[in-house]
Amino acid sequence: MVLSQGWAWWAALAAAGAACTVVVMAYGELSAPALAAVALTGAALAVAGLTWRAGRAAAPVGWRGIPWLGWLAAAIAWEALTLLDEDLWTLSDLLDPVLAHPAARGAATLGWLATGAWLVTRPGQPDGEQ
Amino acid sequence: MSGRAVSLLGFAALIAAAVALEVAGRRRGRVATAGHALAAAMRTTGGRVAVLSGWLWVGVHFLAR
Repeated sequence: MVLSQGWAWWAALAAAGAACTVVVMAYGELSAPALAAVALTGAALAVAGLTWRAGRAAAPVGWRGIPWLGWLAAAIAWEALTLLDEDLWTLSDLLDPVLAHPAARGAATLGWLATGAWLVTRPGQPDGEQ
Repeated sequence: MSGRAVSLLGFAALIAAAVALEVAGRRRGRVATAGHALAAAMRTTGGRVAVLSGWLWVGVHFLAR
């Protein structure tokens, strides 16, 4: 399957993404329908990315990627600190009031889905090719 | 300063650092852009699993949990 020719895949993704967004907007956090919609849509995209070996043919970045590893370590360390210190707010504490609004939740869902679609369309190789 | 303000400052600093890295990557090329770094992390099966799992966790944690 060639991703660039997969218009049906894109149509299915758009339909699933729209349905997922509507469910998340309508039911909100801590609800079974929202959990099912996000988990199923996300799992489908993740499996697609693994099946298509997304990113396998991406260009290496070598040492130029080291600063991003440092940034990731700093982000994890800061989040861990906010989790351990009861006075500090975690990222979830800060975002939950914002995501309580359906419009914000819908926009966040669309952004998350767009990121997933971008990830699974990184240059890869179909099964059977080396 | 409240704990909320301190947390906001910390996360704002992280965002500012990410923007600075991205700008440096686009202007000088000495640093990879976020997109290039993320794609490169997916070159191996382990990296692909880690990146896609992280993305899935973000969705479940922030949008549905």
